[in-house]
Amino acid sequence: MEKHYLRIDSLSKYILKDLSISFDSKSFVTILGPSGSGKSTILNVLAGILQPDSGKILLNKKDITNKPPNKRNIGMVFQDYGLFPHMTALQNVEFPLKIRKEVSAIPAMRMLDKLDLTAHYSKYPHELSGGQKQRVAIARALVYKPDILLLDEPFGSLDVILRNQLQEEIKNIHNETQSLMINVTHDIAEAFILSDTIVIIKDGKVKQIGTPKEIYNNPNDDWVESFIHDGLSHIKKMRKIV
Amino acid sequence: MRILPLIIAMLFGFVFPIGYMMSYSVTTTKLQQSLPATIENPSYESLAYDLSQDYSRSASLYINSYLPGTRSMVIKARNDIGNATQPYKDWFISKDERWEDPKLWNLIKEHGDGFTLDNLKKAMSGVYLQVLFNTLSLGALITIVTLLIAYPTSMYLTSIKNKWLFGLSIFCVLLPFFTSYLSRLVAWIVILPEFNLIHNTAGIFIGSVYILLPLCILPLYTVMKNIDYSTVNAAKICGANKLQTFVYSYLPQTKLGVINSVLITFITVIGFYTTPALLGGGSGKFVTEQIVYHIEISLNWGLASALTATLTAITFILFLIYTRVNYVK
Repeated sequence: MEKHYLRIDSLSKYILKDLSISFDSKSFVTILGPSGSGKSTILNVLAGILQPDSGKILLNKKDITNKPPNKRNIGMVFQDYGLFPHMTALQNVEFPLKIRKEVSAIPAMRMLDKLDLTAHYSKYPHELSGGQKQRVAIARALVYKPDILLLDEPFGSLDVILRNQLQEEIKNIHNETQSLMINVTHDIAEAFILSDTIVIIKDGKVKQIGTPKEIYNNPNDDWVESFIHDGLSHIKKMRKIV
Repeated sequence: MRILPLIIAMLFGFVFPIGYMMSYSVTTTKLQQSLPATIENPSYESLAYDLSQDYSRSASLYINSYLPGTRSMVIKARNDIGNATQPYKDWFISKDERWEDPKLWNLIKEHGDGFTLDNLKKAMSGVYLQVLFNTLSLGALITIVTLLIAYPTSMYLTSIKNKWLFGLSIFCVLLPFFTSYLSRLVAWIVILPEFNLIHNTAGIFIGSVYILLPLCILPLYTVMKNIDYSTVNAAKICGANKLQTFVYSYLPQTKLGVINSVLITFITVIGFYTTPALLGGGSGKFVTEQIVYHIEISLNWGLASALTATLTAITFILFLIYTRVNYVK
């Protein structure tokens, strides 16, 4: 584990003002916060889709702030999949390898196999279910072994059963690849189940960083406490009934 | 059953009038109507009989349309037919030697059966083939240039976030679209001579591109605004540079818009009449100009309708492609 593998230094963009966080390698981080708190903006700045107004991003001690997205070697999974509609599942997964002029078919097929998509490799996105689409998107983001995987509410548009399945799979993939994954969500249960580290943000500011246990047992302030407990209340209610 | 009214409307409003007009291109009934006895039995006696009858009034027109310059010959003979003397052959030849021309008698024989492919053959050969080729090639060039301007314009339109700026931009695209076709052309007629760009191909070119731009932009814009922008971001993050992102992710997703824009623009431009007539100075480069000439001036409706038929056939094929691309998946 490398400390401060990815560092965000006094970053400003939209709602984010002078934000600094650092992430360790090999960890699974979830950025948790209510809608409009700036969590997706963080991911988009990390991916290079948005240019920050000020501040720096350091990946493995190298400044990548001004690098375009294609030079960053970062993978990203979007809530609405972002699959190329004119390409089959296999072509979608091959795309990043082809762009890099690498051998594509075998690793892409292997990645599809890993995500249980072998039977669907020749289908177009519109022929796939929501869960299958998201698996293809994950396969496409992982196939070129990115340094970081960014997950922008990847389970948001899936039903509960699929969500649980895919969360499990992501967790397994993370255990296997041991690369830094940063997940953005407003689903508090998801954050607790998946993450080594949770970053809670509100109005563009970090409220608390810690392991799920630390945050659950020692919330920094009343807002964090009620935010978490409101978010988990349905689980508690369920426990009472059962 | 619910499409029955649609089919009836199509039959009465489209198939019947167009079909009736097109029938002129393959029939010669007019000659039959004006010279029935001669067609039945080609001889100077029958000709003299037909010309003495009221129904032969338009014979001069139709003979003239196949044998240019013979109109006055037929009119003269017809006006003087009361004084005709036997043998009629000598009388006709004494009026005009061209009555002996075998071309005339072949024409009468060939048109006897009422069906002819002459007009269609003529419309697809020689100078008319050249005109058709001019129309299609100039139309293709105009379409390509229009598309090259419309594509980035539509991309720009989809990228505008500010709603006032967007409203203003859409207004700029649509205002000319809804302004009378003629007033826009007249404006060009005023301006183009300043740059010596009227009454030539350049004039037609500029006028057509300008008229067609909104027509080309709208289908493109409709497709572009529905593109999920995360596919563009995804391509970049996957490692594609700006050009690769455009070529592999954006452009293929606009394919349908491009096909539609090209077809609509091309179909419209090959049917243009006003623009080439007003800005091209009646150079006759377009099939449409030839059609109007043959309807209004030379009165050769058979040829006019044959020319229309070739143009309609091309349009129909393009329209089939359009329907196939858009509605039959």
